[in-house]
Amino acid sequence: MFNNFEKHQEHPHPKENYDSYSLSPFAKRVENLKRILLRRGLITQKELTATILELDQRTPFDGAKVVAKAWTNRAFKNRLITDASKAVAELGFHPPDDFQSLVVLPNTKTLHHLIVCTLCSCYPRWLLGRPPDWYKSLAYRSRAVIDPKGVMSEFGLTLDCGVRIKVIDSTAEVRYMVLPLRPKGTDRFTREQLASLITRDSLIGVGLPSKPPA
Amino acid sequence: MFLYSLGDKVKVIHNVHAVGHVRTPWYVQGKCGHVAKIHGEFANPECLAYGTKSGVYVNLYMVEFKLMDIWVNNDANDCQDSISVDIFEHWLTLN
Repeated sequence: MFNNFEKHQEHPHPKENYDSYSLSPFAKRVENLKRILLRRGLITQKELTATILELDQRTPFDGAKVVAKAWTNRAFKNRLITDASKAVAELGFHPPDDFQSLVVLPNTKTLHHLIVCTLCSCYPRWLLGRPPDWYKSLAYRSRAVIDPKGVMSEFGLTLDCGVRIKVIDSTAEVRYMVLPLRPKGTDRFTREQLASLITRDSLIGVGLPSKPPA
Repeated sequence: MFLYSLGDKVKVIHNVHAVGHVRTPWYVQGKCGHVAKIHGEFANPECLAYGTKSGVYVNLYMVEFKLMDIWVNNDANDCQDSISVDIFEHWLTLN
């Protein structure tokens, strides 16, 4: 199946023994598709590696920086809610193509958002990096739209009585991020300190930002 | 030119056997909600999936449904909870 040394355009690397652990049928399909695309010259390994590296430059901390700015700058927060794509571009974050756009969903004391992609795993990768594995799982994708409260409780999140839940299913080219509520007791925090409280899970909606240390 | 405005009550076309690349999840097909946001014009992914890149733009809406309207037999959902789904104009009719 694989040569002993697969030479890519940049470097050789040792044989990856796919027999020593089993790939899921989907992973096998992806591997085969990749090999066919490379063999036919439709993509190059260099392009693939560059895309992966670029994707991995982004982390949830980038989203946290956006949220921290929104918490401390009312005008930016308004711009973020009105046109999130344009607002995050001010901080240097741009989607990879003309198709995708960003919408930021502000939580309030009575409204909590939960984001899912039931069809696949749509996620603002160009801002937050790769989604967590559970986000891509059939379990999350099917249950988040049926029983959002139950799913959130499994993540340890129980909302106060009277808080409305709005689940968002990203079925098209719009990507979503939650703007969580700012934790109490953070009035004197710097933007960096605030960003450190904002978790990836709070940007998806299965968690809340961390509480400030006592 | 958008067919629907904010707040319009709309119904999702029911066509679970639609052929090709479909972005309208089956669980909202045939269900009624209201237009919560008008996203604008986007290239139609149903065509992009087949390599057609030019000229096929469609309007996209965020349609909000009550969770209890979608999962009729599920008592666990509060009457105030909702689900919003991005749906293309050609999948909607006025309710």
